[in-house]
Amino acid sequence: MWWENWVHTVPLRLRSVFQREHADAELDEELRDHVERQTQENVGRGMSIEEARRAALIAIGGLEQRKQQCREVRGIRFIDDLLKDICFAVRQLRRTPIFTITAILALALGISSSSTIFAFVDAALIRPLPYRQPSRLVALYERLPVGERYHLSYPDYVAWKSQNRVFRSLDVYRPERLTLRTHTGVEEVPGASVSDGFFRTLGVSPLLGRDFRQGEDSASAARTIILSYNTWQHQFGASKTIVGHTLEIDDDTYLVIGVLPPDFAFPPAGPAGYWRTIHGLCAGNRFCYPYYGVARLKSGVSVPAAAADLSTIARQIASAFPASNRDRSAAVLSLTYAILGNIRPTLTALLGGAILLLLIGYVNISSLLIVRAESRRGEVAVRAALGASRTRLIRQFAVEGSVLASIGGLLGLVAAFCSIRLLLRLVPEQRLNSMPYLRELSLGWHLIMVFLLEVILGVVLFTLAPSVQLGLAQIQTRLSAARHSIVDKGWKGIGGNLIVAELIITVILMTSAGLLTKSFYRLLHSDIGFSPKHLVVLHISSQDNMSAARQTAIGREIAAVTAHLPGVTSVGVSGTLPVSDGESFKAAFAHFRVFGRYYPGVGDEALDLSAGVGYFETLKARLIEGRYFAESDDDSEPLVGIINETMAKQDFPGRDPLGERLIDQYDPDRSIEIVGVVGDLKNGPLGAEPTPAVYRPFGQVPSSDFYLTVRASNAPRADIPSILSAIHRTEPMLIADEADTMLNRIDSSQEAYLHRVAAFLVGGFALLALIMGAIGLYGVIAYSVSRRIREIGLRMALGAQRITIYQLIMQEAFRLASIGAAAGILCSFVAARLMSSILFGVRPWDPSTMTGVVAVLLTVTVLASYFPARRAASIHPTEALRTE
Amino acid sequence: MSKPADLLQGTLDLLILKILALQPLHGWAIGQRLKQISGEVLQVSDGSLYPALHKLEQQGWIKAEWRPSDNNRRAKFYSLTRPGRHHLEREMVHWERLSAAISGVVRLAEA
Repeated sequence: MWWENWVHTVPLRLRSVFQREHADAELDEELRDHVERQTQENVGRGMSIEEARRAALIAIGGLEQRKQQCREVRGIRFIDDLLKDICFAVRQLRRTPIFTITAILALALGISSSSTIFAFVDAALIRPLPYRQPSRLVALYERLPVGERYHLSYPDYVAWKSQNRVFRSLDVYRPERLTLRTHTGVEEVPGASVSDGFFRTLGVSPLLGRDFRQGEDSASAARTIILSYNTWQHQFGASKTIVGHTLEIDDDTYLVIGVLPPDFAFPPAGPAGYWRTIHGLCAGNRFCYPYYGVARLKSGVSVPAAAADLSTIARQIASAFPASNRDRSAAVLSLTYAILGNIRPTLTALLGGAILLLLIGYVNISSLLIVRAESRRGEVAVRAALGASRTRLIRQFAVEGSVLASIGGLLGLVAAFCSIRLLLRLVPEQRLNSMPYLRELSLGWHLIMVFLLEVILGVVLFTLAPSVQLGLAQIQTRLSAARHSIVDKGWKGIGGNLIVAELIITVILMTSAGLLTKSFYRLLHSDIGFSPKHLVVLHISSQDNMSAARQTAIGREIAAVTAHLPGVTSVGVSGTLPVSDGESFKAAFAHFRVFGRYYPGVGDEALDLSAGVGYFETLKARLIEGRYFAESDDDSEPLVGIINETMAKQDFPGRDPLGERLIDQYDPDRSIEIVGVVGDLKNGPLGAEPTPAVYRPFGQVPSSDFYLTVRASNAPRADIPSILSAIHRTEPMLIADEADTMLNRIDSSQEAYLHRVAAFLVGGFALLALIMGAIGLYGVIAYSVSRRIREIGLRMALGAQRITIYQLIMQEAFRLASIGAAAGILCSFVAARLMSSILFGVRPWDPSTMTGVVAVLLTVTVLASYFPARRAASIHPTEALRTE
Repeated sequence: MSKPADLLQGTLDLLILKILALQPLHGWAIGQRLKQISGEVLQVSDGSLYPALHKLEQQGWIKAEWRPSDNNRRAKFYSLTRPGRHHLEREMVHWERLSAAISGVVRLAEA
């Protein structure tokens, strides 16, 4: 058994290293004992004591040699040499502090950035989602002509559930905001409604209490609720007796039946803390679309097969119920993709950037090591000549490489740890809620493995670079040649190639950063159809049941009160806000048809939005023709509407839409007269295509759940408290939340956030790469100058002008830089194409970005080569010729 | 390093293991025993004995412990470990085969 052997040998080895004195003393005692016994024996044979002793010593053949032999078999020598090598390596590294610090920093930077990004990638893309067999879960949506991730109606859900042959189970969920009444007042909390088997489909069971029972989602079932772990911890003090308590939610009494496990999160339903059942919401109504689906595939069924099956069912429904389902088909996405699909390209791009930076670090250090190896050629040759074996010399380089890699690696690990913390803190709370898996981010063993791999790769490269450079195979023959060569062709080859590689990577990173920054700028400055500066927005809701007249009055009253505040120039209410991601946007789609035209049964899809008096004016939207809404547009008047430019172009090409009439599919008896056309407002996420929209006056379609948009002073955030208190004074029972400036709202939207993160991080990588590239280039040129002192001296002695020397040196730099730039631009095309999915408004082959990058690179080249060139030009010929 | 000229390489290890298989002994006694058993035919120099012992110890075939000995002083006693015993068995089989082969060849040459 090998391990049985180790039981004896491992402690022995350790003792040999760590208790050397003790081991040596024992060896001493053992040998002395032998000599004494032999002496006695000899005396017994009739020798005198001295004679006996001498004979014994002769027999053993010299005490010291024996001891040395015994030490050698103990394996001491290897460790001794290693310790010596390490000391020597540290001494060598300390002799050249600038080289050492540069190398260590370069590696630390590369390792820390790649480890940090990898930690995020690991948390988001590699670790499985917290459900049983997450790869078998799919997200179900209805596919509409405007997009593929839309809601299902209850009848569609029931039909899909009962008729499919591909799912083991199928359930629905619906993110919601609930009104929770506590002893301190009323608050809005994030929640979700789910069908009864939802948690069983995901394979999640409650930590406390029970799951929903079958049938508990019917309209008549008792009201029950399951809490998320976080809500239980923070709202209910982690009380074990919470199960069985009741809560007042949305004016109903709910019985708490369970608490979910801590790692459970379901991003598609938002940061829901309260989970209840759907209670048959919209059962039997084909025109009500409240749900999203989630299902578990039967074993052996693929996602495309499931999609095909559901599409067949959807087609059957569409032909049976064309009025509601004509345009509705099914979309099946893997749940992992549905949850992570939006950040995957960004994270992949970031990881790519970090890997490139790490590569630059390696290349940079390798080239520095090569430069250093070159200047140590003499030393190495002498050591070889004095009998150092090849392995011994390579081992010396390996030890130096290991020392560098370990110090750099450890620094990098510490830096990675700090930057992970920092980056996590920089993620806004709202984004963390939509990416809950990032909360699980930590230094896991995945990360440690990657880290070790990076360090080992470093050791290998840092050993190989100088060993190959010095061609340790034929070192002896080079002893004389190395000393006297004027220009070293071999070195120029490898060193130059490495620099070109470094510059190529730098160009790729700079181009990517340029494209991402430009795309981020374009996104933030894309035409959103209104002026977001100085705008404050807030959400107002009430859980009281109010008449339509009362709702209209409240909207009017709140707008009037706010308008009178100091600094406020204009106010408007609306059903939703522009630039909103997700739910409110998707839920706003309806169907309209033009009155008097051929009608095939279903109208065209368009957003059905409401806008109060002054809303468009407050946004500073663009009125194309007609008028905005006025106070007189109330329920006593015929219905009016304003359409956006896209709708005007789509439904009335080449005609004047004013005076035309639209019919809302769900309200077919009344027609809406078009009184105005407004320029497109960005309704969905930034970067989304414009969609047709119909705005209707708040006075005709009032709601007790609306947004207030306020154009305020120059510092809009400062106006929020006075607006909030004015609203509370006027209508104390209203809930006013989500107060924010419009700019901040846009800025922290998911689109903007991902773009900003990508642009900033890759920009940072590019800057570091540029610095390292410049250092590398400077190193190569400066070294080349130092090698060519004699040659330059000779040229000058023969009459060369200073300017010629400048040319000579800088030419070399420009040769390397232009090769790097040209090849880098070519590679950038590939990189840019790979990340085209996260670019907005920028083509991958953006000439101005490329030009800018080349200009920056050439400027840096001038700087990096000017100083060595100046040094070369100031060489005094006679001194230069005298140097050896 | 002085090698016992008249010992095949590796044979010394086998002899030491075989002697220690009978009883734990200290270095000097191992040397004495070697001479006795082989009737002074195998002259193992005292010098090469100790490096061999230390090597066997490092390999884990034998282990050492300090114990009081006959002359009232402590001595380093070596004994066989379990892996050492297995190793010895393997080596003996090996040796039998080798010596049989060699004597076969030698007899053939005589005939």
